[in-house]
Amino acid sequence: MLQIKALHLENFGPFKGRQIINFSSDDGVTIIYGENMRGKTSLLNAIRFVFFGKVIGRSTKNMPLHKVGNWEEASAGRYGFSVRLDFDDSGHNYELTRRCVLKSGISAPSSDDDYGIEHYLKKDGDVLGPQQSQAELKRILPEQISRFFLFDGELLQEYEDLLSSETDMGRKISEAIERILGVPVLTSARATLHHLKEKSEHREATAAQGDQKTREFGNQLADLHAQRKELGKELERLESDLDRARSQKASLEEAMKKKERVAALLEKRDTIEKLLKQIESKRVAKESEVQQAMSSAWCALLTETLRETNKSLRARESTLQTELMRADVLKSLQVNAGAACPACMQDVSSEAQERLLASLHCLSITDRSEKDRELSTLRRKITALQQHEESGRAAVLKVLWNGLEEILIDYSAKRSEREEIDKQLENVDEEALRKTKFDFENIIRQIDVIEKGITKTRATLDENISDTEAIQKRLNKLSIGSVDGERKRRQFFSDLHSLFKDAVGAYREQLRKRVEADASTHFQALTTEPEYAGLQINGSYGLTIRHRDGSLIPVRSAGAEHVVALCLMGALQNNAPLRGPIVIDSPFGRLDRGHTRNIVRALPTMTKQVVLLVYDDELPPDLARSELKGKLRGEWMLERVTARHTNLAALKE
Amino acid sequence: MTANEESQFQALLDTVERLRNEKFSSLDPDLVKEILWLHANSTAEPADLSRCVELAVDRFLKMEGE
Repeated sequence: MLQIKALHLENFGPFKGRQIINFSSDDGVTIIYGENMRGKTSLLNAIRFVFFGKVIGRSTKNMPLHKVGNWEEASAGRYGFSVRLDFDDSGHNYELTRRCVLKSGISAPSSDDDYGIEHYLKKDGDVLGPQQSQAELKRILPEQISRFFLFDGELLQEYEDLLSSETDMGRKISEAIERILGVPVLTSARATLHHLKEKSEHREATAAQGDQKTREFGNQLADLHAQRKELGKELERLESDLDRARSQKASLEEAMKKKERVAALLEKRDTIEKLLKQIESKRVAKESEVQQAMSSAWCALLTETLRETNKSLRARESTLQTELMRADVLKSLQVNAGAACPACMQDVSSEAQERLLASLHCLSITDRSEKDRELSTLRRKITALQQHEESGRAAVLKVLWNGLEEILIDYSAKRSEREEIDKQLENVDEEALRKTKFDFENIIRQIDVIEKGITKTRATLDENISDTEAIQKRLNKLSIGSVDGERKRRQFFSDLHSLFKDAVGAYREQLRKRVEADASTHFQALTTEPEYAGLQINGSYGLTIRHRDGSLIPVRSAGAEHVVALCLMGALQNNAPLRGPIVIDSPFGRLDRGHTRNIVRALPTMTKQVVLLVYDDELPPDLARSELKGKLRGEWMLERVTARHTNLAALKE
Repeated sequence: MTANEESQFQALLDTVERLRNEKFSSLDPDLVKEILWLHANSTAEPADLSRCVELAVDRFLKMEGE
């Protein structure tokens, strides 16, 4: 097992000059304390750099090496850095050195191109050649599985993706898990035997072509074999395209996750923009209605005057009507020569008749027709005024105004909301974000097309295999010496291939059971919730918490996610042939004291060597000492000298 | 091979051997073990690995024929 003995740093990040951390050779935990920005992540990166030549930033993307060297040294014109790791593995002593040095002729570097990387590996004191060195490192710590040994506690969240078969990150982690658990031994044996089976089928076809009796079958088999070869190539190409597209999708997904808040703001702003446009057209329509109503709005100012005029006109109408009716009555009396009153039918006395006749002369014929004309004019005026009163213009106008006001208030509220979002988006590269979104949608479409292509090619391949088998069956019935040998050989490879194909599935199933059992044991030691009974595994090695009543807990907090991910790490360490130290940066940031205590206590049972990079509040030294006791093998402190210079100080070595 | 690697190889072999017994008993257990061992321990390129397996199978078939 890989066991780190010492880490030597020279001008790596904030570690100015030459500095060294020694690790105990006894099993247990080493804790390195440091406040934020003192260089905890740089220490994890120093180990990554020495093994893989890479430095990873918070965004999980590779950091340019140009920015890794100590800034104070760089400002003094001294560029470059180096890391050396001393370790033991399987009884051998190793010294691995990697240096990033300025290329000759460059005095002021500006990019990674201005540097060269040198590395060498010493095994038991002898320097290994480049190929041997690569092979040794690949065996000791393959990069693909390094995520289970060197990790950032904050990124444990991504293990949640194992619960979904949809995410590419989940697929990546799942593949890495299978790699550490040895599944590739079986899958590569299956691939070898598939290739040899194909080759033996070709030989059988060639042999059959060589004999008159079997030539026709041989020709058909050869054609099918050639077609299968092409289909295989096509499938390989599509699968590689799919891998590439999926990994691109995973990167874009990751980028989008980080910009989720900004993306949400942009989306909200787009929605508000649309709403503003809708409100704007409503405003225009409403304003036109108001304008129309306003053309006769002046009438509302005359309402009172018109009411008074109407009143006096009606009074005059009534007077005229009375006068005319009186004249009609008197005329009727005159015509009937004083008999009786035409209204009440009573007798009218002669004196009364004389008085009436005298007053009849007051309304001449001219007067009568003038009064008729006046009455008719009056009535027309009254009707016109009545119509004006009925229209109720003021009320209509009020409703329209209120509507318009509401629209304007709504518009103004939405506009302020948009301005607020604009402020928040001030320093955001919207174009880049929109491009990421566009690329993401594009890659999803590409994946869909590739997947359809794969399904179609597989179907054609299945058809080809079934046709081949049918011809092989017919060929089997004919006994031809030269073909028989090849047939037997082909059958042998076919059985071997089927055996290893079945073994892949069976081994995966066993692994899942073992990982589930071990992860559950770790979980019971780590959880502070007594009602939780263990963990249940899915096909992608995703783990779900199981309650003691048998039900599954579908949702969990970020803290719980960390606990579950650590259980998976522990289970993998138990089941993997390759074991090594676990180096964790900020492992307890999201955990309460109870879980922190349980995890600290359990860490020495997960693997032989653990290195924790923490800050005091995350893991108080007293808690660590009381929980770990004799298993606490070393304590170091990252001491600030300047903002760009940190010193490593041993508290307990 | 380290102790862990040996124990993992054994776990892989147990799985393959169980299936061989159940479904492919005509296949020789030593040959199957040799194929597995080659894939677990070799750092050779796939083409070389394939050649090694082919040679092992032909050697076995030849011996069986004799």
